[in-house]
Amino acid sequence: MSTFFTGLLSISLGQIVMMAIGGTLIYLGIKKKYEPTLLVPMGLGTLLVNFPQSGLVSQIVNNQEQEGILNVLFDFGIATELFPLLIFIGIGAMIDFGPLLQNPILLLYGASAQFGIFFTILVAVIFGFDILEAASIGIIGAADGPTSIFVALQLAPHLLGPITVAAYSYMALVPIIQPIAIRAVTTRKERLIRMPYTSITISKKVRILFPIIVIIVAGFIAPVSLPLVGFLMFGNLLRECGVLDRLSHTAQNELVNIISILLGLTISVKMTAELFLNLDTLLIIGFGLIAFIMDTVGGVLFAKFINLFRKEKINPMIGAAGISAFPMSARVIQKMAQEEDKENFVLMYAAGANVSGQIASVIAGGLLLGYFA
Amino acid sequence: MIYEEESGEKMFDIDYKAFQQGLELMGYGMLGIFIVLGILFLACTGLVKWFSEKN
Repeated sequence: MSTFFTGLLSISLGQIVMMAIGGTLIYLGIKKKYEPTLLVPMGLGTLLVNFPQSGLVSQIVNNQEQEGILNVLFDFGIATELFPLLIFIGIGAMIDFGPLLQNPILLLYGASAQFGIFFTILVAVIFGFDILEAASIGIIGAADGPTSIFVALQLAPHLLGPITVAAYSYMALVPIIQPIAIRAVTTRKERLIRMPYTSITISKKVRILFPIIVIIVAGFIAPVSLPLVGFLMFGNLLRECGVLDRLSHTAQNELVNIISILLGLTISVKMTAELFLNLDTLLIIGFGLIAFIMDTVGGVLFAKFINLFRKEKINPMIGAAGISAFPMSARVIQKMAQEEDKENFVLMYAAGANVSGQIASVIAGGLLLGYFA
Repeated sequence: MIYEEESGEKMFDIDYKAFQQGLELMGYGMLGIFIVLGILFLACTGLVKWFSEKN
């Protein structure tokens, strides 16, 4: 009879807390719609891996090590970096670089909004993390889940769980974080700046050449970023070449969906009580917030700096859209612009800066890896 | 940044070598991103000028 209660009797307080965290992630995903594609599988995974002797994660049963199915998936898909990279094909196929190509200057706004990554690295070092751990924590500021996973996996795999939770949670919280940070560093007059509508038809030739040029430039200057950039731009080439619509459709839908299911569930291997419940996790969650705020501030201040030299001023809020949380950040900026002035339409510029942030964040990830290579 | 509590223990025990590396990383990273995206900016400006039409 006692066999039936073995699980109940051997459960620890930490495991119960982790189950509650899993439940919270499921709640946030379903009820609040915060990144549900990742938080729901990850929440359920967290619940699953914290049952004692569940057989889902590797453990010793009767003095014999039994490999759990989630560990098998982790070794296959995450330890090899396969899942995050495959997701990039889908993301590339989903992104329309048209708004960016209409205003190439927005590329620089994406670059400036990566400042939070490096600022957070310094903060993490001050709080006692070693430089590799700090770099992994800083990459939360890339505002890009797969990049965060990819970098953390190589520099500090033991922090993968909290880094992933922080990265995806804050991406979902962009509509709350960014307006506060933007208002803190802009005046109402600056937020009222209107942007002229530019009507340039981007030819198919330009759209096809763009991903190839990005690969060439990144390949020569930051070759370590090529796995990320290459897969992202491959997906975009599928979209833009015009002869692979079937593959583009698959990359945008089936591929991304399958990998998202596996990624969320598999990452929960790192969501066990012994790996997650410690002071470092709390600090990492806090640093994630700093990273997003400083990304936003960096982007806005750069836009203000550029305005010093421009005749046609750019609404500095566009700089904040340079973080990679796509398309959430662009929508937030448009909403803020219309709150100040109902006839201010900055969405195309914000979307341009936002997709530029996508490129900048993968380059940043590659450069971090390159620094330690 | 170092604050000594009454007990004499340091609140932040900063590893200055790591901090220096962090600063170096900041310079290297931001410069690298701006170089890559700066080149892309020039390339895209050229591409759009040569191959696109203004409506």
